[in-house]
Amino acid sequence: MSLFSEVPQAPPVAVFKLTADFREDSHPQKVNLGVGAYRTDECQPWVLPVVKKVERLIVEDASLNHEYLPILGLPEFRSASSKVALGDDSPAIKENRVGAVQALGGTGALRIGGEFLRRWYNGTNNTATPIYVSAPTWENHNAVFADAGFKDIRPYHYWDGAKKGLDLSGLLDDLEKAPEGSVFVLHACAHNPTGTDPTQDEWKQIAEVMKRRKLFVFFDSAYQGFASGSLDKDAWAIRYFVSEGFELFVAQSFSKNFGLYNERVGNLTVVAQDNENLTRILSQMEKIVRTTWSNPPSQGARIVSKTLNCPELFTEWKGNVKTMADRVLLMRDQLRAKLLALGTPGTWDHITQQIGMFSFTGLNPKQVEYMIKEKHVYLMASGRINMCGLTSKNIDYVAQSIHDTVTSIQ
Amino acid sequence: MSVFCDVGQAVPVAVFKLTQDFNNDQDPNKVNLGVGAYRTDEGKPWVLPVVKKVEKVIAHDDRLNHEYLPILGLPEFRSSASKIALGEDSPAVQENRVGAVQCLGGTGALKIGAEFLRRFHNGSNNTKTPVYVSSPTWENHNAVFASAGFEDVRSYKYWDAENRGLDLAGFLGDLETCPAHSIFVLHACAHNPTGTDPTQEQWMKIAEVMMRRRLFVFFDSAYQGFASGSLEKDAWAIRYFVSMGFEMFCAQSFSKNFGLYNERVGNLTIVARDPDNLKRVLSQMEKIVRTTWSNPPSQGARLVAITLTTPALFEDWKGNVKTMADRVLLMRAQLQAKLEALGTPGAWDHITQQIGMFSFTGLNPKQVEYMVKERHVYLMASGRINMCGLTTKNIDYVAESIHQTVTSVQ
Repeated sequence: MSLFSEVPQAPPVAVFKLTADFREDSHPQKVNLGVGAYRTDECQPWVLPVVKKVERLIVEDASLNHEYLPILGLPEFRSASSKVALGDDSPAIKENRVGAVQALGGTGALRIGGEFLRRWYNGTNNTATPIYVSAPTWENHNAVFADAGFKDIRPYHYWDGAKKGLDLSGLLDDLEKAPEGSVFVLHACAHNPTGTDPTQDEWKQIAEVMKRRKLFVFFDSAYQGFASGSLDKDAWAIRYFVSEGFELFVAQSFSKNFGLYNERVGNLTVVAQDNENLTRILSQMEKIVRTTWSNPPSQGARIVSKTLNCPELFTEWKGNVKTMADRVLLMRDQLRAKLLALGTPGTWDHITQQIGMFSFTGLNPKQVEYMIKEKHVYLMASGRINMCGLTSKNIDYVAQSIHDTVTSIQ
Repeated sequence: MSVFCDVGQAVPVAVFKLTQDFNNDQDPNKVNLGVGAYRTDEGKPWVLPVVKKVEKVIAHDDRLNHEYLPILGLPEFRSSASKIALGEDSPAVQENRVGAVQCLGGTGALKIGAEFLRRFHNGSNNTKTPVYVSSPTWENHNAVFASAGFEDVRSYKYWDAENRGLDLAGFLGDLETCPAHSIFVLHACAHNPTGTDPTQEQWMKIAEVMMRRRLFVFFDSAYQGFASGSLEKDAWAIRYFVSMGFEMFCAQSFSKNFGLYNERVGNLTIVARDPDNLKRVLSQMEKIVRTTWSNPPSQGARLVAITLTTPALFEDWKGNVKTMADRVLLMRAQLQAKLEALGTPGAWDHITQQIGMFSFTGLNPKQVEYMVKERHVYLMASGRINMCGLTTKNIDYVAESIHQTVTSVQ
């Protein structure tokens, strides 16, 4: 009898199952609009030219070795990353009240932040503090906070399916009614999966309630630069909240905007009221990191750090990011145009109004099933598509498939 | 008022504080025998020649990209890493009942293994299952299992200070009297911090009790190849337990034997009764990984996989490992010889009898304090020294320092 005989089979993560099914499909026109990674117009992964360049610089640098990084990570990575989010001239940085923990991608940053909050926020080891995540949200948010020990994870109103936009009044209402001290996970830009962000005016309203009701701000920033093509534009919400005096966390990911998915480059930026609080927070972050991964991996952090800290490479990087953002914007334009040209029932403005990698098409589960089974176009059951999966070669087929689906299935 | 005003200041990790103090010390004769990383005879970190070679190959291979690895890691890394531990011809591998999770160093492997056991071993979510770690053990073992949710982390007898060797009777006694299903963390070789391993015969006795009493075997293997210079020799205990039919976990680290400390290369090898049990175990491991780091970093795993699976590189690597192991053995021999030549009171055989990076000198806390403050020779309060910190240039000074300390302070 095995020691493991009672261990049940866990269901696979949906987005990876989708890609597995896509791989096994032999249909010549199959399209993968599932998992969130950038693709070129040839539908290939793209290693950013600046990344290739910096990788070669690193490998030729005889002064580098493989000694352990500090527990909190590569110092020049941490500071450069926080600056990217908060801005070079951020008063909070000048006031020495911004710190960071180099983490394993955005997931790692969320996890370390979650573990910290569960131990130290709203009392000690208060697992009852409600954590609010948007409805809908990235499929892993809920589980990360649950595994960090939180017992009460709730949705806040976000997506208005009827009007295909932000349910601001529902969101504000949840903020007004949430227990004081609740933690809210906010998407800094390019909301996943809806692609729908609050306007600047709407962010101001959100911030006003959160400050008044003493709610904790935890930004998830996985698409800075990737959403609009501008780093500053995509960080507006974060910087606004900082300027309003919030203490907050930002889980940053460099997976998408550096195309460094598999090197796990993330940063948990911590904005505290003053340096003294920051010091104590970081000391506790060290304890959490020490029992999770001890100290973080070097390669990705070195690449990002070198790039962000060298003016020429930084400019080159911004160009690479704009290349990706622009291709996505082009695909958005073209998909909408083609659906309009086909006379596909419904409105399709949301495709160009939404921002970032994802679009919430509005297709319902039956329509999604039809798209996959009959058209071999793979998308998430929620109707979410990854715009990066579209290319000049497949966009007509996808538009036609959406058209056929919407007209055949209700 | 900061929301973090009640966050306590955490104490720094001892071994890193020691290195910090060493760095701040201006004494020209200072020696760092603290943190566990290999040093050359010039007292410098060493990037293995084979690592430098393979890094260049990777940087220039345009077929490689940075797409996400699978959640469980790079397949060729996982399988080749498990084979290193269990042996090429391992029946368990051939029977398809060995699996693995690529992890963030040995720490990450312990963490994921611990999180799994807390959820699924000895009932569901049984946080009361005792976890036994050796007395003494690596300073982070206790905290890793505690943070995984285990409430009862205890020590088993291991180091006999009086006889400066293994307290086998005490160890076996603890195995006989502990609650059934208790988890035991065993050091596969080169015990940290004592450098004292059971003999093959002693391992057989340990295994017999563990099998009879249904105790869970969790090996920590951070020094394979580094201890004796032979991969096979250093894996004897692991392979013996597998041959005895145990289901077990083995947390492997490639930090030391590849000198890849900062790329966080680890592997949790799982030996199950059969493929069906293995499959269910791995599916649950995926869930745990997904909320911790989502998927692991690529660079170090690629490096190790290429090296282990390319015969010429594999030979290179074994040679590099032997270089490190031989230098340590030389320093052991010389330190003992010098202490004996000086007529330093006490017996010093344990220096050459102990194995691996560390030696438990037998110096007591007052003597350690004297070594650090008066002689500027930095070692852990436990009396543990890192043999790698010794060089032909400093070994006389260290021997004299030990001599002076032992004769001045009791």
